[in-house]
Amino acid sequence: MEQNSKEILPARYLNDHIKADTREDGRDFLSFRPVSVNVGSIKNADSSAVCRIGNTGAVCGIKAELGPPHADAPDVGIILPIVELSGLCSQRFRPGLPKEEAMCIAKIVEDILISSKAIDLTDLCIHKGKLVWILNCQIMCTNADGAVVDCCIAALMAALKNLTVQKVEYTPESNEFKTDPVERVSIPLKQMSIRTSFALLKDDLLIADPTSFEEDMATSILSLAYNEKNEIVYLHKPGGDPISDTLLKKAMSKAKSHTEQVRTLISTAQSTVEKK
Amino acid sequence: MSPDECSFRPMACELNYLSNSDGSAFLKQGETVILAGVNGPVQVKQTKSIYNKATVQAVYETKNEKRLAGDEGQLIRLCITKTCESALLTSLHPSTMIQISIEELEDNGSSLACILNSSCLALINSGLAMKYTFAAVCCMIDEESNNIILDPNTLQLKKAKAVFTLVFDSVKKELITCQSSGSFKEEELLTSIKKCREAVHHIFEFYRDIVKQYATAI
Amino acid sequence: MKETYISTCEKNFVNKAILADTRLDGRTLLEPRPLKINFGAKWGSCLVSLGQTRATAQVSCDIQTPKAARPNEGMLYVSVNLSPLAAEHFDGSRSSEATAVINRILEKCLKESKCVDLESLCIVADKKVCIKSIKLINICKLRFGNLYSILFLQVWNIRVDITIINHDGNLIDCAAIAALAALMHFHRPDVTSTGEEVIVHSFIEKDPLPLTLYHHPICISFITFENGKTVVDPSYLEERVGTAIFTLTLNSHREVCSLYFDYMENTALVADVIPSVSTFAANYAYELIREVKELVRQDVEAKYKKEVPEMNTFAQCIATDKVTSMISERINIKLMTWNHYNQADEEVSCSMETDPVNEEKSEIINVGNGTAELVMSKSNIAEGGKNMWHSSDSSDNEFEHWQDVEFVEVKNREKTPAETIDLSGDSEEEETTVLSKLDLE
Repeated sequence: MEQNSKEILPARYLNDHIKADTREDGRDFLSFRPVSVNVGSIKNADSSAVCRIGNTGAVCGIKAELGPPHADAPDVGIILPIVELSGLCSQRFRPGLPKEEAMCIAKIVEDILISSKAIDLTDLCIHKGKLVWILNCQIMCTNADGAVVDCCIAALMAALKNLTVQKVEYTPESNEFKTDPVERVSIPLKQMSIRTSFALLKDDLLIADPTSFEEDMATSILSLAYNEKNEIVYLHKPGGDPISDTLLKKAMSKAKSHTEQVRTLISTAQSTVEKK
Repeated sequence: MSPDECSFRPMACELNYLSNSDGSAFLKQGETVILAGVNGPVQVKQTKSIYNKATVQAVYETKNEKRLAGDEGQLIRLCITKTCESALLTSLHPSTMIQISIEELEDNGSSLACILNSSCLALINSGLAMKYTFAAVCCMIDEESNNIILDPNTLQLKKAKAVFTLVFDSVKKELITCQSSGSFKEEELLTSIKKCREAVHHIFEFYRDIVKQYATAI
Repeated sequence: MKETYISTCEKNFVNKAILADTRLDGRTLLEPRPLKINFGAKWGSCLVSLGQTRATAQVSCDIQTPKAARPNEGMLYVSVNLSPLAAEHFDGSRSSEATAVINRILEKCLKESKCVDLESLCIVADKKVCIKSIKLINICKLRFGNLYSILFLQVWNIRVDITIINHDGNLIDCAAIAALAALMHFHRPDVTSTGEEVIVHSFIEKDPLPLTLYHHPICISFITFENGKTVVDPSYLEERVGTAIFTLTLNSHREVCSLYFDYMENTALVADVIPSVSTFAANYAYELIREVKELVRQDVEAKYKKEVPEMNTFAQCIATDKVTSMISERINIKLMTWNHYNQADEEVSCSMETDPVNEEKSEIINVGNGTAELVMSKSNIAEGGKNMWHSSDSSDNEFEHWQDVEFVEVKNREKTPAETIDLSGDSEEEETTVLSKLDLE
């Protein structure tokens, strides 16, 4: 019966829950879903992580490859985030060509990496103008039930935290590059940023960590990313109803405390695995 | 607010620049030049049709090197679509499409703000019913002095610690769209929002002047 | 969105007018529309207006690996985009038939006429010998198979992007002028090659270099009607009524670079187009190229002096002292007899308003003072109306208005009913409104 009313009268279904001061999964308005992180489960990748936020899940695998740098920036490496939203993860997506949504998420992920200066790109340079590391960060969404980008970012950050690459030596005399098959060096993650989403329902009701049903019903979506220094590195609100300053402040304080928790969670998960 | 704190680069605008669009605006903010056109409501493809409201679609073309990077424009397109959608009364035109096309002729900083302003002017020019008009302000925080600079150009942007594009509605002057880059503190964000909100009425006044000029002459 | 159909009535009217050597916008058969070029602040960007048809072009360059067959030559890439701004039936995709036709003609015009010196765009010539000098041992997962060639074979890739932003016929000519003007205007950064490394100098370090053009090709299009008459620089309506299109690519030495001829509809055959217009085309091409060269020269010189050009910048496209009205459902007609009163182009008649209630057959309305107009409603065939725009203005200085009707001047105007629509409530309608720095500071 309840399932029916959700599909037939979604607005009423939502309203009934709001009136009862609760959400469809029984949470408070400003509480988050449980988060779980697993690091290093994919052995083929140089580093990997799986993250789940409630039902939403994302897998991130990083492969480091050697290649020439861009001609206009010869001394920096390249990070290429690729986001895949397969047909499996939600009814909304059809398998096939990369979708606009996936492209947007990839761009957001890239923006957060750049804004937060998560990795010093010069660390990825082996020899200026000749060879740099190219980090292919493949992020796959396994299940999309709201806050997909948050999950992708958390998985990526966990994977980057654990990243090691092969050691490469350059001998200038013979102009040779040599990789060491055993020894690996880690690439330091300078800033771990975590993104949190909020949705604005009608009558200016702010809810944290929306599910995909709540995202569809929301009048506006707001997302914030914080770095370790408690600075905002990304603030995104694409259109929707206007938001007042009070609500924005409320969202900021909630996001900050949640970010701290997720960061500790990732560190804990990471401390239990040995670096490759 | 003292006048030197609120300094937009000179703006100029011509409406009706294109003869084949339902509404068009050619907006210049400093050296950033944007052409926006609105077509709609027009026929929509079956797959994109929404039964109870109009589909809003944005097309964005740029001339600079970003174009080579590919999906850079996707996020800007999302921003234009969502912002215009929130201002338009889309339920008045069910199963149709409102298409907003943007051509970026020259980018010298604050281009997203200029894009959004020109699309708002084009929407006004097209005569589509709107809940409110909106105006975008770009501002940046200087790396060294921590000063907030409104409407920065490319040269200033190179020294930016953080850049915001903030869009406000004309009724309550509240935040519709926000996009940021760079890292910044919460207080810095709040002061920037406050400053932009104070400055935004200049843009609304500019809209009013332009519309008045056209309404009285034609 | 589909293109709207053209009515038989309109078709017949245009054909009849052409038979009487008259075109709807008041031009003679072999009279092109005025050309205007505005240049952007960057090298190689321009906006070309041919009457109401408008196109923008941007030339950009990057360093790439040359094609295997021609390792010592740079590359030139031409791409045309029909923006949905231009007309409602353009969807902005790059794969439509119209795009393909224009792209092909422009490729013939620019690439196959070999007007750009591609050999001068080579940075590092073929040095395949060097490849073995680097040994890479034990590098796993080497992603770029052509890593070596990227390091050693480098040429400039010049890319011309043309976007049509307003469609009022003759897209080919407009796009060709835009492409040529942009190529002539473009300057690439200087490079130094040290054998191993290629250093690209910024514009501050070293002055940029222009492209070498051997000659300047340009397209001239003609439309032939079923009655055998041919017009140059067709408008959108003429393009759709005509039976055959003929595009000639010429350079300033009166040499033909390419030809394109196609029937728009297979109802009639046309004869003798080429001999009848080729001399005119050659002369016109010469004039046009000279004009483009002059405009480019002015802007480039100003840029060399590192000053903002006084004229023809993008900013100057925006008219601040005038008001343009262009949304009009009607066909706008001007006849050449009173051509000299309104030298300004079709925008003139665009600002007219007709009264649909006033049901009259399409007719010539004499407004007085040597101005008259023929109004025909597109949606309501053969119904036109009196020019109500004019009558709403009070009578004293009407001649002054008609001399410059292109832009409805905000100054020197009597109070009109429309002015009561004052949005802010204060009635000072004289203000010319530009938000300038002064206003804000």
